[in-house]
Amino acid sequence: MSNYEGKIISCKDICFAYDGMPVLSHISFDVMDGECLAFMGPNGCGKSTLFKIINGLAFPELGTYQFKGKSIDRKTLDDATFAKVFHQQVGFIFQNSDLQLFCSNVREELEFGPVQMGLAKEDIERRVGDVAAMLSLESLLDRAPYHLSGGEKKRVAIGCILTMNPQVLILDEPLAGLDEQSQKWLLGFLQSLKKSGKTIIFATHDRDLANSLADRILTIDSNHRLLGEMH
Amino acid sequence: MSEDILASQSNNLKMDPDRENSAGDFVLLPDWMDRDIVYHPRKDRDGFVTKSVLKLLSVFSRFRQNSRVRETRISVWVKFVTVLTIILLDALATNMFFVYINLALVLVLMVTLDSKSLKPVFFQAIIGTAIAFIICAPAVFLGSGRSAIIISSKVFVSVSLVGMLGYTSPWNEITSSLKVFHLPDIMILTFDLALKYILLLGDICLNMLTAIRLRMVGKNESKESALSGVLGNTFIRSREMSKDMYDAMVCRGFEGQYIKKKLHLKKIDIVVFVFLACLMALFIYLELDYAGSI
Amino acid sequence: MHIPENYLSPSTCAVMTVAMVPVWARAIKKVNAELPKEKIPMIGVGAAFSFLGMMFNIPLPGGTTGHAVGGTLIALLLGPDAACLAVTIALLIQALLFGDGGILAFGANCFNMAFLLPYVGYYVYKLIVGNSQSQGRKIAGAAFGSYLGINVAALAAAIEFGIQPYLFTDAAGQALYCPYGLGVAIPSMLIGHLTIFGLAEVIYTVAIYSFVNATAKQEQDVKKTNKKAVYILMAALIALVPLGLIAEGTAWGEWGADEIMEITGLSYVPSGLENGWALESIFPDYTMAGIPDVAAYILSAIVGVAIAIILFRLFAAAKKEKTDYGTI
Repeated sequence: MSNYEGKIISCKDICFAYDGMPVLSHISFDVMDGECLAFMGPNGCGKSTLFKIINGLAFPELGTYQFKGKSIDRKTLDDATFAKVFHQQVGFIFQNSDLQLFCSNVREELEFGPVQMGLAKEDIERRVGDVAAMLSLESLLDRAPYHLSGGEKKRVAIGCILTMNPQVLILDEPLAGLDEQSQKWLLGFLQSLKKSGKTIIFATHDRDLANSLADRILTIDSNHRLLGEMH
Repeated sequence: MSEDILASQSNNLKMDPDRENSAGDFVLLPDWMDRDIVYHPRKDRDGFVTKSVLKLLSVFSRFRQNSRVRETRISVWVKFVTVLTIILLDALATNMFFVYINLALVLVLMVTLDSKSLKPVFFQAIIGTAIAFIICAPAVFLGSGRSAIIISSKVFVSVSLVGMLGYTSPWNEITSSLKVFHLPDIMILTFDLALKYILLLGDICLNMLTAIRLRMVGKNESKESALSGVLGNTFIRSREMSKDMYDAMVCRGFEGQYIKKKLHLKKIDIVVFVFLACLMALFIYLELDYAGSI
Repeated sequence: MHIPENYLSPSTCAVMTVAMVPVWARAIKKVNAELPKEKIPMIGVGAAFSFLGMMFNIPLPGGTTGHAVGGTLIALLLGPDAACLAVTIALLIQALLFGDGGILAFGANCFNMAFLLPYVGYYVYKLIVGNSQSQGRKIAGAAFGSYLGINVAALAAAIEFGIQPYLFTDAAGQALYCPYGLGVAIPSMLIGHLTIFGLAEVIYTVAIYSFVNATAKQEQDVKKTNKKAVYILMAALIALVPLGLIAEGTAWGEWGADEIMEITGLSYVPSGLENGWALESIFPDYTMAGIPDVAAYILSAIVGVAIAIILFRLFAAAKKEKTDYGTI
């Protein structure tokens, strides 16, 4: 993955439909390295589907999606090595953390990505330790994820993505279902991630969050088209 | 119902979701909505909803109870192996002395439980034992009078042991300890997922059952449709959830492999194993020495 | 139908577990081959669904309720191999974490409920439906499949119970495990399953299967399709329910907490209790024969003290079960 001139993500004219019903029509946008981008729009406008496409979990029917200048489609992701590199670099944090956690305990959740990446044992331990400290998960390491509270689950979900050290972080409704304090904390955390140079893309209904965090806000309307940009 | 309450309600009702909420932009309510009704429901029995709700709630309270369990000094997998061995020896024993020793052991262990776990473990065991005794009691006439005593004592031992294991160990560690039996890692993953989804899907079921109960204001002619609605919807939701879950796994580099870590042996675990070895030796000694002495 | 601990001999349990090993192996292999990795989470989710289904009470005519095992439904929704694994895990959770069904008897319970039930149910369904696309036949298939499935499973459990007294007795000729022979076990198990539990299983399977089918295919008119065969079966079962209720105090072999009262209502209990519940009869002299006096004395002391402490603590715990909400 070489010459992409800072355009880490480039979507051109993306269209997607479920059973003939359009969900995304002619969506085009670029994301630069280190940029923070917010997506807004009504329920059902296609934000979640767009995020699936960006994560390589769904593929557009028309149009192209390039990550670091390399096209992401069924064929390129069939190459297991490439798919692994891609998934390591793009981290996706679901709106519903319940669907994202599947291991016996929090430590295994945090280790899962690095283990799949084949890192050395000391490396894995260091990453888990650092991320746990960063998200104050130390006291939860041996607990089952299904026993945690909503806020704790969200922190674990973020942690298990961060241990893979992705370059791009994608968050679907990051503040949904969190209490005020957790929301404040998460906002601050995302701001510090942004400062450290991570590219962040998130969807939200919260205009305050979008204004305070994002460099650019893109809006998708109820006809599944991209509206003009707001700064 | 007072006038102004109705007025404020209809304000909310008449808002057209697709338009901007500007004042005075109302949809007219049909006239029957403005009147109070006198309603005499017919009698109906909907015990199945209540019973199902209670059953689900009991499952939830078990999960809640388990979430408070903290690590014990003995490794969970060692406890698991020990419980299994004692249950096996207990079932194999033809010697009442050995069963009696186990009974004493189990009771002593029970004394060490905290009050919150002691109660359910003890009653679970007592009920199991009583049922076994009553079921087997008529066998007196078939010439097997003593089986009632043997079986119910054995039942007490095994039910208490399983109860103590479940109430004193975090469930995620019980699933991890299945690795001792060389269960494939993928099965352990599936086991963990099942536990998690019992909570998630159970919550969905519970909410739907509550919604049904709240709307059951008359005679329900097709009770099965309530049942099929709750479980059918839950199943469809569960399919969507499992699809999303797979996506989440792919996002973290999952390729069909799931690696569980090896289990560790602590010092106290060795003590437990030594004790277990003594018990096995005693079992063999007694079976040889007192065979047929029941 | 969950067989508890100590009703089957360990050797029966071992045989049943060994019999399950190739079934599990084949199911895992087939699931791996036919359901690729995407479906791995589905088995866990299916197990959770199966577990929850067993928690549901099914409304039966006359205001009573029954339980379903639901193995056939899972087989129809996920295929028999995935169903086998899903029900296995649901049973493991019940045995290990909820104390429902024995751990040693786990193999036997799996053989009945995770192997016989879903496979019989599924193949009967296939036999009836064939290549037909008719909704009526599908529903008839689901009804007969689930009915036969649960009865075959119950029969298997009855046979497992019933062979115990022929095979395992102590030196004095007393049964070591389930004391009832086939002549008692089979009718006791089957009367209930041919009537109440069979009906519960049919209602459960048909209701949910047709719901999922209708929603999946957007066919809202299933209700109007020909379900004559199902109605006949249902009517017959409904007619049999009172018989089942009279004959059946509870699910034979699944003696649960809420059923103990019903069981004590049975006529034979008083005569069984004639021997008395007095303490000395629980450990009568002959049971201690051959035990050294000192050991017997020490053990009795330990048991006595432990029971006393447990009772005392239960009494104390019952009194102070208040939550501390702290001060205002």
